[in-house]
Amino acid sequence: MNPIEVKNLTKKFGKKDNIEIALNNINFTVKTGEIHGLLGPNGAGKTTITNILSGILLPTSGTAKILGKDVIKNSIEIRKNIGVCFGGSRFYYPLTCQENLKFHARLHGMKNPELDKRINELAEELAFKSFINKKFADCSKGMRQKIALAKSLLHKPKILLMDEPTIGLDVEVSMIIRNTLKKLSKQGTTILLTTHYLSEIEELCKNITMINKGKVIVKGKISDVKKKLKFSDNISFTTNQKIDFISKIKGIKSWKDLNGEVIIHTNSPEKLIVPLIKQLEKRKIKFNDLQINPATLEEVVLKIMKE
Amino acid sequence: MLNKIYAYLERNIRMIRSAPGEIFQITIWPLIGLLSIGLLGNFVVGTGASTNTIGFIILGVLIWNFFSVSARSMFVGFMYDVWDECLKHHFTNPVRTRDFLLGNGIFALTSSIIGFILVGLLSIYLFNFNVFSIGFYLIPGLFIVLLHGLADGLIVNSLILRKGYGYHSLGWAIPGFVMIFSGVYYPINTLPEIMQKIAFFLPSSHAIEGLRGIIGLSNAGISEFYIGIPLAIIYFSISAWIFKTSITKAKHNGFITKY
Repeated sequence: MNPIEVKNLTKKFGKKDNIEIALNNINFTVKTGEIHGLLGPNGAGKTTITNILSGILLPTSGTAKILGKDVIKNSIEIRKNIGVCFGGSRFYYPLTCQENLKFHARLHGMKNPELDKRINELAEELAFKSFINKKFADCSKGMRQKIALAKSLLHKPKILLMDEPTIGLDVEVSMIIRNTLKKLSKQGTTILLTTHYLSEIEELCKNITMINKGKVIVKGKISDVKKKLKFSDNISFTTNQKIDFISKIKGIKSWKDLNGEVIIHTNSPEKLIVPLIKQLEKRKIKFNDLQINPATLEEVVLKIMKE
Repeated sequence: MLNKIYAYLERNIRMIRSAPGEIFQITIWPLIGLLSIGLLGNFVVGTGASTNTIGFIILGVLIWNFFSVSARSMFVGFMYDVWDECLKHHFTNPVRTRDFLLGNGIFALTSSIIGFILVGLLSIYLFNFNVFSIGFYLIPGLFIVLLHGLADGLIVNSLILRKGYGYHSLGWAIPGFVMIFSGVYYPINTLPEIMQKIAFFLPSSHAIEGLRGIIGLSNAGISEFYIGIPLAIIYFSISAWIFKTSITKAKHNGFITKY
């Protein structure tokens, strides 16, 4: 049993004559202790999935299971075991950060002194002790997001649903959040991470599910996803000389010369690089900055968005 | 469950503490209502009306304040989430509708009683009218008004969940409409016949008439409570059910994620 299992999940909004399909037969699973990246462009349906898994949105059809239990039938039990953090989270503005956290902790059945102890622990861990008694209204975006993360961790959940947790945050706060997620994952917490920051996905996740217009485009290991979408690594170098001859070199899929910056696409850059250098030297071509560039997730997403 | 109820009580108290304007809703506004209507009563008595007129009107005002505060407390208990757009976060916690109802309901009861006692004591001092002389029968009378007020707040909350934020102004408007039919400032039998028929189906009208009858301010008596109590229970049960189904509907159409 995987801690998160989504099967044929469909969500439609609107009425008969104006139906919008937000999710169309979505399937994916997340393994224990894994940080699974859910990505796609704006409006792809990522937040809708997070909302359904957290029990605040009901699906039109299909099933979503957390820890083997249906999110609709066992809604209360599941919410005891999940922590949810939304980007740009809001809490009660007139209350202090501590008062807000206390409210949510009590709704999770936590009592004093356990409650105060846990809030203090999180304040140390996420570095918000200095503003714990500040009104939420007076907190900066970064401070607010730390509180949102703390809220999701109050009850030590087994599953974390993170919807754009670092959106619009500075480097320091983003790093604290990323490090916390890494640490929790090592401790066995299963995390579903939705983000626009592809570097974040590449840093934290092994497996991803990429969706667009409510459909799964591709899923699996990041390296496999790049292969599936035929995104090859490339070799690049700069030169001022003509290099038309390189199309004759075996193993080159395609190449282009962008005003002196040459980019060569190949399936095996490591094998190609030696013959390429030999040919360049043989023809006395001066070149600089020769390097192998792995295909980035960014390119993959851009390609999907264009399609 | 008790911990969750405590969470709502603590939150509401902290919200009031941080926004002094909220205390006005429980204390100052009822006091202004008492003073303005009580002084009007004095004037009317001065023009030759029965001295009972002051007691008649003030009892109506006191009970009406109780209704308003209970309705508003239930309404505002929900609006805290809507105003600060954290309803979505709220419902990611393991809370049931009953936790919300009990937490906000107990808060509404407490704040209504505080307001009632405060204004009730002032009415003795200012207008020589002692509402506490009603004695034990205040309990069933206020029970009816409390349930009716909570039902009113829940219906407005349900409308916001189903139709959108634009309906929040009904939180202030509906009590005004109910007041017209409940005989706050006049006996029900002075209303046009069609309005009397509507008044019959309002629990608050039976509570006010019944309480007036007990201290000889009208011909009605405790028999009014026999109609008012079941009506209030039906009103509250139906409104709680509507609120619960509104949350489910908002989870279907995605409205809940907007707040």
